Amino acid sequence: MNRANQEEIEIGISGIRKLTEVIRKQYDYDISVYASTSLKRRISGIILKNDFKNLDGLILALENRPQFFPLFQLQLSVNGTEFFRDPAFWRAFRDDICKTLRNNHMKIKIWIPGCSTGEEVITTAIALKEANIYDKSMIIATDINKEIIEESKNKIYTNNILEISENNYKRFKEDESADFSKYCSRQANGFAFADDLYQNVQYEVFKGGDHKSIKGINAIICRNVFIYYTAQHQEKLLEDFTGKLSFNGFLAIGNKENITFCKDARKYTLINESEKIYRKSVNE
Amino acid sequence: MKYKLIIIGGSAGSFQLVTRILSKLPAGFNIPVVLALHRLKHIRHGFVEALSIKSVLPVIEPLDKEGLKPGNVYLAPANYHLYIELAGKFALSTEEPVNHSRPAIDLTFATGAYCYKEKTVGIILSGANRDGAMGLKKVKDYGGLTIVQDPSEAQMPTMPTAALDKAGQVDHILKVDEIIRFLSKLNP
Repeated sequence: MNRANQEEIEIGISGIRKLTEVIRKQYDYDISVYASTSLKRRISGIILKNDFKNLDGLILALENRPQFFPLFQLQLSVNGTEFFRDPAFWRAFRDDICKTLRNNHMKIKIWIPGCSTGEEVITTAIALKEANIYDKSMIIATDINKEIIEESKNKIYTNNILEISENNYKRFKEDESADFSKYCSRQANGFAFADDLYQNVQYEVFKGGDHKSIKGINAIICRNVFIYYTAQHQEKLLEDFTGKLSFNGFLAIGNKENITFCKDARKYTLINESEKIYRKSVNE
Repeated sequence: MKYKLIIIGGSAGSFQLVTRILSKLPAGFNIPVVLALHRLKHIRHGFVEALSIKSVLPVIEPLDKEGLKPGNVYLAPANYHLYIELAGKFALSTEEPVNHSRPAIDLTFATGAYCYKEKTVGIILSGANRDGAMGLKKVKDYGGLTIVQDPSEAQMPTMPTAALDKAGQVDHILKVDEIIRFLSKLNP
């Protein structure tokens, strides 16, 4: 039976609880931090993709085949689908963030948490390069998921996201003749980026807590990551960011994301409302 | 009052209809209205403003985790899927497009129907693809009320026709003026 086009498998609350419990016990991994609707959709997708009969089939596989877990984790994460997503944001990144950071005497540290398959990382690298500050920058790209980190290094991207990205880039430059493909090299099964865009990128697996290089950060680019977490976990994430961000450091979230109900929101000043760019306004 | 959620899905040819519907919903209309409309992904501004011109009720693009409130009209923001969650809150997602669409009508309908069950009203208007058909079926499966714009009136009949094919027997096939009359009667 071809299930590729099949509709979503409905997953009840008790099913999610059971799955959460199994994964917590066996893999010390907590999926209860994820926002419920997208979590259920991802799990339904995993069941269909791997041809399990139902949720119990997936649970059984997780219980009995530890080697399946990395793939499960990989398929659970939401991948980026384009470079220069929201061109207006990247103009604000260039005009608000890069212009300020240019005056830094020290190395500029930019942290991209939840970097997934690296679209934001490469976009940041290109934007920094075009602002002529890439050489004194370090991009720390982290994800909870080791598999995805491995995949992101010098990844070959599929051609179907090239056209969107080319159009985004033209909008970012506000120039119809701007050419995104100058950064890409064609490969047999897609396209890749030149090594120098990865040169100042440090990929790390990061699951929260203290980390030797993630501190004194000048800018956190974390767009459309908060949306995948529950409100309670968003609170924790923001607290963690506050601790790692330097005074006056920038925080960028997705344009429809919302940190206002988090306690730590009062430690930030919104400097660009439509692109949701904040600055940390307390020195602690 | 029976219904707690009204979801309207539309694509090509639906903008004028939605504007007309919004112009007739009275102040104090006490059921939240959620609009899942296909829109250009890179144009984030202007749509809310355009819909607000004739609307008595405030039209808002919800932020992630914002609560649904009666008396408001909510528009799915550009380039995000708009989900409705059990706590009566919205959730946004950048997951891959569905039916080539983000926002996908199917997803707003399916998640809204799951949460509000028989208290959901789902309305499918004009459009040139099949998005919304699965979602409307979900509304029906959960016991909600299903309305489809009369395809003979729709500028683009593909979407209403697909919804009728997929959902089977819907509650009402109506012209837009009848949809407006129907909605007005929901407000006690």
